[in-house]
Parts: sequence; C-alpha cells; structure tokens
Amino acid sequence: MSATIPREHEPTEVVDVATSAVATGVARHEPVLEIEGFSVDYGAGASMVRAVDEVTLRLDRSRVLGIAGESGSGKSTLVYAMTRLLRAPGLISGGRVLLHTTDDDGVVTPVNLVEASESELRKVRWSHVSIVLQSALSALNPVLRIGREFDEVLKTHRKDMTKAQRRARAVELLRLVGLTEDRLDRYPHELSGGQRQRVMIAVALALDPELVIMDEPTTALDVVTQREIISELATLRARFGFAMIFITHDLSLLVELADEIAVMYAGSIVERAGARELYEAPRHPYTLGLLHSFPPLHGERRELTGIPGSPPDLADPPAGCRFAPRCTFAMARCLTERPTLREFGDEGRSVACWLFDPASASRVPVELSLAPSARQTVGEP
Amino acid sequence: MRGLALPRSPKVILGLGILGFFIVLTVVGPWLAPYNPSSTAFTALLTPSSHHWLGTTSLGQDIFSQLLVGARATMVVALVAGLVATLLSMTIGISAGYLGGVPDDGLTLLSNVFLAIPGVPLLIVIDSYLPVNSRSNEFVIGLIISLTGWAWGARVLRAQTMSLRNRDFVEAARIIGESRRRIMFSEIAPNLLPVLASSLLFTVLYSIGAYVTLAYIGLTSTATWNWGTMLYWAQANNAPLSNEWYWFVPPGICIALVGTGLALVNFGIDEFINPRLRAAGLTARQRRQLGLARRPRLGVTPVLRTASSRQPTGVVAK
Amino acid sequence: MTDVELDTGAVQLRASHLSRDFTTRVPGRFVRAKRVTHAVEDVSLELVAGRVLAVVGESGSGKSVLARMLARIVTPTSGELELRGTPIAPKAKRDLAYAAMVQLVLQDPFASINPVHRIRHSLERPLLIHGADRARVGELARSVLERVSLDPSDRFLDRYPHELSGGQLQRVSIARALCVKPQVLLADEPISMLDVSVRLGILNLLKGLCDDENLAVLYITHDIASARYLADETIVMYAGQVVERSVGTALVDEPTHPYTQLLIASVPDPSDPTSIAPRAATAGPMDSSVTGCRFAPRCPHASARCLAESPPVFEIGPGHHSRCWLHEGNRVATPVLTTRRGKGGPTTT
Repeated sequence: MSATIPREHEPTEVVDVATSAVATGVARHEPVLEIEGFSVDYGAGASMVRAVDEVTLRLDRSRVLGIAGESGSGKSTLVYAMTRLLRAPGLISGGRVLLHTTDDDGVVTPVNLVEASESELRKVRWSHVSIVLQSALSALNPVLRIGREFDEVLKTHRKDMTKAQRRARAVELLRLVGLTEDRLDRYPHELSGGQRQRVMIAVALALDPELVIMDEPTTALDVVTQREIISELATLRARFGFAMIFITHDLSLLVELADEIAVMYAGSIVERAGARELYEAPRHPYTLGLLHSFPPLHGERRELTGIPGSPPDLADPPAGCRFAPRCTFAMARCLTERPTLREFGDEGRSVACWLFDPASASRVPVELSLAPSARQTVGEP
Repeated sequence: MRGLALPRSPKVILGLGILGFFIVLTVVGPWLAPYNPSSTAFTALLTPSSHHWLGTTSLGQDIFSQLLVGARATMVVALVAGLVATLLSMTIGISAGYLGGVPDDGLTLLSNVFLAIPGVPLLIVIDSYLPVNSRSNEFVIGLIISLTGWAWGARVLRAQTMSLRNRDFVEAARIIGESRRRIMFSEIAPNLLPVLASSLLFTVLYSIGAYVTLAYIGLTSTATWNWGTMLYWAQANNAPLSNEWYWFVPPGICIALVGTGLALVNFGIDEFINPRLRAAGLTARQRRQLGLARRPRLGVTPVLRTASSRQPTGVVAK
Repeated sequence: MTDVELDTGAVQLRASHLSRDFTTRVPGRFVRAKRVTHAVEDVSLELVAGRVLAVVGESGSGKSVLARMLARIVTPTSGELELRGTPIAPKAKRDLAYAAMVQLVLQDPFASINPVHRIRHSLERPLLIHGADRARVGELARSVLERVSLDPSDRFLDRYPHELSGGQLQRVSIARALCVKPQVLLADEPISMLDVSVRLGILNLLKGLCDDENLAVLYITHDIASARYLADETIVMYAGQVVERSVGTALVDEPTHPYTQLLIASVPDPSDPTSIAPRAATAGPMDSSVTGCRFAPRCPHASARCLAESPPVFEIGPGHHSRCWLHEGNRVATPVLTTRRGKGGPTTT
C-alpha cells in the first residue's frame, strides 16, 4: 500500500465559520467516510483503462471535501463507483470504502460499501448517503410530478409514514431550498434549471443523510443561480451538519465552499490540503497551473498562460508522473518514476510530486513553496 | 471508412458467411448447374438420387439445376431493387428532413401514399402493364419493386436527418458556405451510414419476398428461372399434395437462409448503432473469467476480487 | 495591454439596431395563443480590426442569436449590417463573399466537427469552396493548423475528431474559420465546453489573432472575468437588450448597472474570503415581455418608474453607457449595492 492515510485533525484545529454552527452533537473529527487504495477500471484485459488509481481519502463528519479535476480525471467515476452506482463497463478493482453510518440511537456502524450486498446498499443509499447529479433534467422522471419524487423516496425508506405526513415532509423540504409548495404538483419541464437542481437537493436531504455527494450540481446553471445555490448549500449544511463531497472542475468555487480540497489528475489525487492553504500556497505544479487558469476579476490585466498541452489519454498514460509532459518543473526522474501521494511538511497536507521527496536533491521552485498567508479563515470575527 | 466497423460477433460472421455463399452462387450458379434447367429430357418426378440430387419435375426437368440457375435472377432482382430503393429513400428522406417546409410536406405526402398502398397489389398492377418481354428482365423487375419499397426507409431517414440538421457540424458547414446538396450528401449522409445499411438489408429482404411472390402467382415470365417460378410450377402441379417435397422445399429453404443471413448482419448493425448494446464493454466470456455475474445489474457496480488486479499495469510501483 | 483607447482601427462590420423576435405558441384552453419573445432588441455594435469586443450574458440573454445574425445564418426582424462600409442585406442566406469575410466559431467543439470525416476534410472543404487551388489545399491546411499551434500539423490532418481532445478540437474549429482568411471572427462561447487548463490557451490564441493578424474579434461569453481578460470593449446583455457597455475594463471594475453588479458579485472569487454572502438581487427568469425595465422584477433598486417605463441609455463616462434610471441625468451616483467587492474602487461618483 503506497498511499498514506490522511492525518486526523488535531482537536485544536481552528473551526471555520460555517461548521461552527453545526447543530449535531457529533464530534467533528470522527470520520464519516474512509476510502483506502480504491481503484476503478473500465473494461478488462487488453482494453482495460484504469480510471481511478489507488485513491485514499478521509472525510470527517460535517466537513466539505471538494474534489477538483478536469474531464477524464476520474472525479465522477470515483464517487459513482464508491456508491456502487457506476454502470458497466466500470469495475471496482481494489480497495475499500468505509461509510460510518449512525442509526437513530447514535450507534455508529462502519459499512464497507465495496463488500456490501444489494440489500445493504439499498439500506445505506438515501438514508445515509445521497447523491445529486449534474443534470437534474435527466435525473428527474419527466412524466412524474415533483411530489412523486419525494413520495417514492419516503415510501421506500420510511414505511411508517402516512400519505399526509409524506406530503408535509415534502413541503418542508421544498421550503428549505427556497421553493414554494405549489412546485410539488408541477412536472420537471415546467421548472427552470435552478429550480430542478433545488428539487434534487431537497430530495437528497429527505432522509437526513450523513453524507451528501454533489457531482457538478451547478455546472449547467447560470452564474447567478449557481451563487444562490451555493450559499443555500452552506446554510443547509450549517443547519443539518451533513458532510458533503462536492465535485467540480471549478477550483475557485471549491476554495470558497470546501473545507478541504483534493485535486485529481488522470485518475489519482495529486494534492490534498485545506482549501485556503491550497489556494494560497499550492504545492503541486498542476494545482498551481489550475489556479493560474482563471482570469482574475480585478487587478492589473496581464497575460496568463494556463497549462500547456492536453490531459493524457488514460488508455495509454505517460510513463512516470502523468503530469510530467505538461509540467514546467519536470525532472528526468518524473518521466520514468511515478510519484505517490505522501504527507508533506507539518501542515497535514499531501502531495504526489518528486519535487517534495525528502530524498531528492532538487530545490522546490519558489512558486511552489509559498507560505499560506495569515489565516483569514479562522473562527474569530 | 471508419463509419461501419461491424462488431465481430459469431452472429455477424455467420450472417456474412451465408450472404457471401449466396452471392457466390449468383455468379457461378448457372455454370455449376449439371443440366439445362428447362430441358425435359429426363424421366418425370424422379426422387433425389446421385444423378438428380433434388429429383425432377413433372415435366422431367432437373430441380437442382433450376435451383442453381434460379439463384442468379432472384439475387440480382433483390440487389437491384434493394440498392435503387435505398438510393430513393436516401434522396427523398434526407431532402425532406433537411429542407423542411414545403419540400418536406410534399415528399412526406408522397412517401405516406406509397406506405399506405399495399405493395404487392400495386406491383401486380404495374407489372400487368409491362410488355411481356420485359417481364423476364431482372433489372426492370428490380426497378419496379424498388418503387414500392423505398417509402419506409425514407421515413426513417427523414426522422434521423431532422435530428442531425440542427447539430453544430451542420451549422458549421453552412457557416463556411457549403452548398445544400453537399451538406445533405457529404456531411449528413455519412452519419446515417448504419441506418442506410440497415435499410438496405431490409429492402433486399423485402425485394426477395416481392419478387418470389410475383413469380409464384405467375406474373413474371415463366420462361426464366428463379425460386419463385419453381414454387409456381410446383404449386401448379400439386407437388405439396403429392408429397413431392424435393420440388418446393429447397427453394423455400434458400429464401429463408438469405433472409436469416440478412437479419444476422442487421444484428451487428444494431449493436453498432445502439450504444447500450455496444457499451456493455465486457464480453460474456470475459465476465465469466473474472468471476462476475452474467448480466450487469443496474445500481451495483461489480467488484473484482482478484489480488493481482491491485497492481496497476505499466506503472512503476513504489 | 493598454487600457481605454478609442477607436483607431478600421470598422470591419457594423450592425445597427438589430432585432430579432421569435413567435412561440402557448397552449391555451381552447386556442393556442401567440407569444412574441424579443430575443435581441435594438443592438448596435462595431467590430474593429485588431480589437476584441466581448458580449457577456447568461442563457436567454440573446447573445448567441446576435452572433448568428452577424454570421447571417439567422435573419433579423429588423436592423442593418454594413461590411467595410458597404450596406449588406441582413437576410440569412448562402453568400460566399460574406462568408469569406465573417466567420463564426461555435461553442461545442465536440459537436461542431463532423465525426465521420478526418480533420483534413474539415479544413480542405472551406479552402475548396473559397476557390483554393486543389493541388495546394493540403499545404494550406497544414499552414493554418500551424497558425493555431497544432504541431506537427501532419499528425492532426489524418486523425478523426474523436481522437483529439476538446482543446485541440476547438483549435481545429478556429483553424477552419481561418481557412477563408476572414477579417471578422465571431466566437460563440468558445471556451465554455473546455477543460479549465486549456481555456487560457484558446483565449490567448484569439488575442494573438487579433493583435498579430489584425482580425476584428467578437467574443461571446457568460464568464465576465474572461471578458475582462480579453476584451477592448465589453457589452452586457440582459433579456435581449444591451444594459451596459464600456471601453476597457471599466465595466468590470466600476459596474454601474445593477445586473452587471449582480453578475460580478456572483462569480466565485477565492481572493475574497468573505464570499458566500446573501445578496439583495435574486436569480430569476429573463422575461422580454415585461413593460418597463426588464431587470426591474429582480432589481434591488427598482422603483415604480422602473416597472412602468423602459429606461433609455445614459452616458456614465467616456465610452461607458448604462441602461438604468439610476443614472438619469448622467453621472448620478449609484446607490452602492452591497457588493462584497469594493476593490474596483467606488462606483461612478
């Protein structure tokens, strides 16, 4: 096993504003999800493509983990496979995924989703982990009224609820996401994109899950609607204390929203760090490149370069570090040996890059050795 | 052309094999025939023997020779009719779908009329107006059959074209100033290749049926041999009632085999068009070898439990 | 990059008062009612050689319809086009001479290149249509690929689109437009479908074409930060109308229209740690049928007058215009929207 398990957060770790208001009594550094050495393949034999390669991650209760990556980085494959929702020809080829489920009496049971049977999965999904997809239009059944979506979920998992109770719960959920009761009797096509995505979020929260997974929930939406949904999510999380995995290609959105960020490239995690640390002091050259790919809204206009080249073809990945062909800091070693994600420094962050190998004689370039600025995110006002 | 790389499944290979066999027969059949199929020189109603593999007719003709010679006319008519009908449906269907408006209305009306009229009675009417000598001409008969067989394909192609005409690459072709004719037949048509191929197979199948029917009811020249006229003569001489199975079963089997071959190849095209069938990814054999369930179930991603798969291939492990 | 600098280059394409209505049928109880949507209303603009004009708007703002009218594949309901001083009938039709001057690059590179043909076909067709010598098209196609930095060009010519990445395909798409040697390049959201890491490459390519080859570029986007990065002049559209326009970066640095302010406040900005803040204005449908200001139903500053009367365009400063009653009488102070980004300095004072 090469990848390291992320260090637990010290109890003294500063709390950020949103999570300090968490209403649940659960200690924050208890894990809700632990992923170890998790790999996913498409197909098998000669045509096999490894889409997710030995990913190790840990998410604590009530925290937001952002996964950033471009198309083909494996970020969506990772979460679909993790919840066993990935379709053929996807195959899980190794590792384990522990979801720590809490029942009504507060007893925590870890469930390994990789080993779980179909009925165990059915019990865990929605009740403990729910997922919001990028396209609400294809996730909502076009011939059913919105109310039926809530009804189905509640009927399956809360058999003791009466019809009137289910309706009342649906109305309550809709209000949470800023929609009015009358939406329940509408069809999906009568709603705008933002409203449909809000319905999806409300359905995902129907059973008070511990973990909500969001797969690019705002990518298809306009920027103003995106802003509203993001701030609503922050409010909802503060109120209900669920943990969240938020997947997007928009790193700048994650810096605002997430507590921690994992950056994926070509199937593996290349850097994992606290959101602000990652933004202010990126360590992996790819992270640095991504951060320099967003034109700024203010300041002097100057030419930015982005990242040269294109993402690799996973059917024929480059030998050595998969980012090396596009990396401005690549050394001879990067072209032959593949770096693994290792813990780095004393900041509780990890990076998969030879520049940070203690045994390597290379000097870390100045762009990648910035110190995070005075921590503005801490709890004090 | 990358457009039509058929999947190599046993079904497709068998289908192509059957079709290949009959196409070879079309070319060499008349030369292989041991006797003149019209010669009445033999004893009537012989049962199959080493001299007459399929026996003789009530007029003393060799049935095996009739079958071999008749393959050519049957296949030529089917291929001519299939090709012409596909060309017609392509031109009419794509034009209607791309141009829209009044041309679409007119062409759609035309194809609906041809769809609504039952094909075989129309064929009988057209055929009865033909001069008798052209009734023995396979090309003329093929053209007539294609007239009744294009409408269904045109409808399908029109619908497919309408879904393509607003695609960005069509708009891009308009932006660079491409002409309408080229957009239809050089940009859109190649994207419809699987549909066109499927439509060709169906019209060939239809044409065999139509030609055999016409011949069976005696509307083509009885002087030329095809599988339909064989059935016509067998019927006229009460072969089914007098247990002379060797007279009418062989042409029937040949017709059924060609149809099966066409259908098997169509399966391949179906797999090619339908991404759900194609994206199954793992063949049944691979799934068995990996110890996975035979059919993938929705909502439960399979897990490989072999230890060796933990090491990614081609990566330097650390 | 230089800041505010007034027109010096030649006007290649001038559009005056372009409008386009769409009629949709709304199912009613007995009869189907007709409803007219003003997709684009009275938009005038000039595309100048060597300069980038950015049009910013969300879905439904009419920005794509505007680009298609300029490319003459959508017929305007009213308005005029003028190509290098010559009036042109704006009706959509196949006009090779016009296509040779004005080219449009589409949003989705995966859809805009025919999947069944090799890249060679996509580049040689425009060359052949516009009268290139058949013997030389291969060479010309290679040189145009080199202009968009697809090297080695031989390797790309014989590939199929599915073998290329999104960024490479968008470069092919731009190369196809360049084949006819246009003077005006219209780019409809050229980076929105691309991976983040290759977006800047495409923007820099457009900038290079504009600076080095003196092309007039229209850059359509929903991303106001990229407009600021690229454009010499920026227009913001809302529900078919231009609500604010300015030369240079003034529009982003000192937005005066409440909608522009909302757009800018909505962009994720990691440099501002106090982000996720509630705002006054809300997201909502764009409705071109309202009387009065179209943004009024969502506007935090809307008064009775805004709901009743459509505002005209007021001049805020040199080359800076805003369609908002707040600026009546010219250079009236904007009531400061609780924008979390005061960094652009105070709004117009």
